[in-house]
Amino acid sequence: MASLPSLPHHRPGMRHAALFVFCLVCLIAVAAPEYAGLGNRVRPMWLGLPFSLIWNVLWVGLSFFGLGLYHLTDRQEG
Amino acid sequence: MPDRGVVLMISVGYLVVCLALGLWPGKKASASSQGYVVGDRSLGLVLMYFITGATVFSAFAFLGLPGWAYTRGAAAFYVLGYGTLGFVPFYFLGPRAARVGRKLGFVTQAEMMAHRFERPALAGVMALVSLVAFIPYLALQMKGAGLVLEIMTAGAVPTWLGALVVYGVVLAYVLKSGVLGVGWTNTFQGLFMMLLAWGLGLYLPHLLYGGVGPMFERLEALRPELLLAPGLTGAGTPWSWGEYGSAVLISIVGFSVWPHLFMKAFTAKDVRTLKRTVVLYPTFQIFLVPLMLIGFCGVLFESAPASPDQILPHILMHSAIPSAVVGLFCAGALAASMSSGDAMAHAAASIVVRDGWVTALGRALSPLAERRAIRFAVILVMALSYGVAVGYQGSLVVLLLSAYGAVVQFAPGVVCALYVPRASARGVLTGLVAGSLCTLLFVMQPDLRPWSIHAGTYGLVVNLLCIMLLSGAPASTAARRFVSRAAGGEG
Repeated sequence: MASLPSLPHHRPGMRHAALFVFCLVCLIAVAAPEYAGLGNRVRPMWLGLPFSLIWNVLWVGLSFFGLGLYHLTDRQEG
Repeated sequence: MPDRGVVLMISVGYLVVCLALGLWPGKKASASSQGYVVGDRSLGLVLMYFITGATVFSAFAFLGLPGWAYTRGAAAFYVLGYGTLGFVPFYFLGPRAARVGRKLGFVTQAEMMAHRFERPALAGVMALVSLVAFIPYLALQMKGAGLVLEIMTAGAVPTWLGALVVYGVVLAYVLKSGVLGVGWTNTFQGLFMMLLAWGLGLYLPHLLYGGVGPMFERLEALRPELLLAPGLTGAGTPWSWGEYGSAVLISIVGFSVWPHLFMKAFTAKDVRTLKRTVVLYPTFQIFLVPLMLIGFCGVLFESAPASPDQILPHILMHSAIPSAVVGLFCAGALAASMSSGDAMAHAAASIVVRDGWVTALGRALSPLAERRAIRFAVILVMALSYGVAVGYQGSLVVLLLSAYGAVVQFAPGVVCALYVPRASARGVLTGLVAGSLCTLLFVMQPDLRPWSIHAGTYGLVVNLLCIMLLSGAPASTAARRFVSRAAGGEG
């Protein structure tokens, strides 16, 4: 990926490790008690939605971008 | 009260469009089982995206999920939670399966497993578990479609008739077009569902409470417990974080190995398409948000439905809403039901023939005979599910939960098949059976669980232990070659 020169696509081990850590963070954010003490609140409300719901939507969005980035730097048939 | 004539007209119109779309691609696929089951391994990104997305959003999306938000509040958020990572394992498993599938001609998950572990019985066990999962699932989809039509036409179309007509349409296009019929209808149905979900999810809070914000402000004042995770149980008592978190985890582990989804690894035209489908999948998940909003709408609504699952049709029937909107909802609920039901029926039939008859029992069939046999099995599976939907009076949900638990147990074996040459057939088969039985025990007797976490978690631990303890011998050459082929080597 010429457009993403700084991404570590030459070091697959590092990419895998980064994805693993990213997935672990996602998992903790959406499944740990009180959403890791950060997300389980009603306020502030965004777009009229309680923060606990926004929190989950946010992580769905982040997982899309995280995996998307991993995919963009994937040199194996992809 | 909506005009039932308008509702029926829109619903019937929708079914006709689906039928036309589903029958059209039948001409394009080859006459073999490869054409019928995996579309000659030719599916591009758009079809793959909608086939996986719309398959996952079943009648549960339009009926069950609003019902969850209505009675259990933030407990429903767990569906979004597992959506974050649910398909990630498939990013790695899918391409590996696709490579060996292309080289060795697999069209189902179980035949890949039977080949890797050189144990046809494994295909038989997996086929059996899959069928036990698919039939109540399909029955629930049929019941959902029938029920929506019955409620929305104020009883003019009884459940049995509605389910019969809707699934008559599904049967026609699955029989004629196989996976391509499923793909094209799901693309249309997926787009329709997305539009409708957002439309209704924003329109109903606006109509009833003046907007989404005012609705949640009122809920915060009156029922704040519904807005904080882990929400409530079905009985209205607080749900535990152990149950919530482990439900997210188990769903992530099990999601990719659902046989009808896993099979789609064999339908994609290349590995790049498969990986892109996985990356895009969470965007489909966002469409569940408006459906949750509808459930929250019901909490403050002036009257209550007969059961939580009926909250959305209940609101529509008891509000001043144009008949055309009600008709569109009806079509959307049918879309959700059909887009899962078709993939289930198609997968179940392929599994019966390929895994049960050909692999486990060793009865070889010619490609044409196989395609005929699968079509016959589609009719059989759908008739059986219809019988369960209209005739069975017990709890389908318990049956479904037990089967779900067992399907999750496929995961360790599938990972081992594609990544761990040392894993033995004995370990995987014992792990699958012991893990499934353990899960079943705790689903049936939840009080026996040492900790209050998802029953499938215990099954997975037992399953993994069996694989580790019974896989001591060095890997065979065949196993090493299989894993190497999966990884992209020539082996």
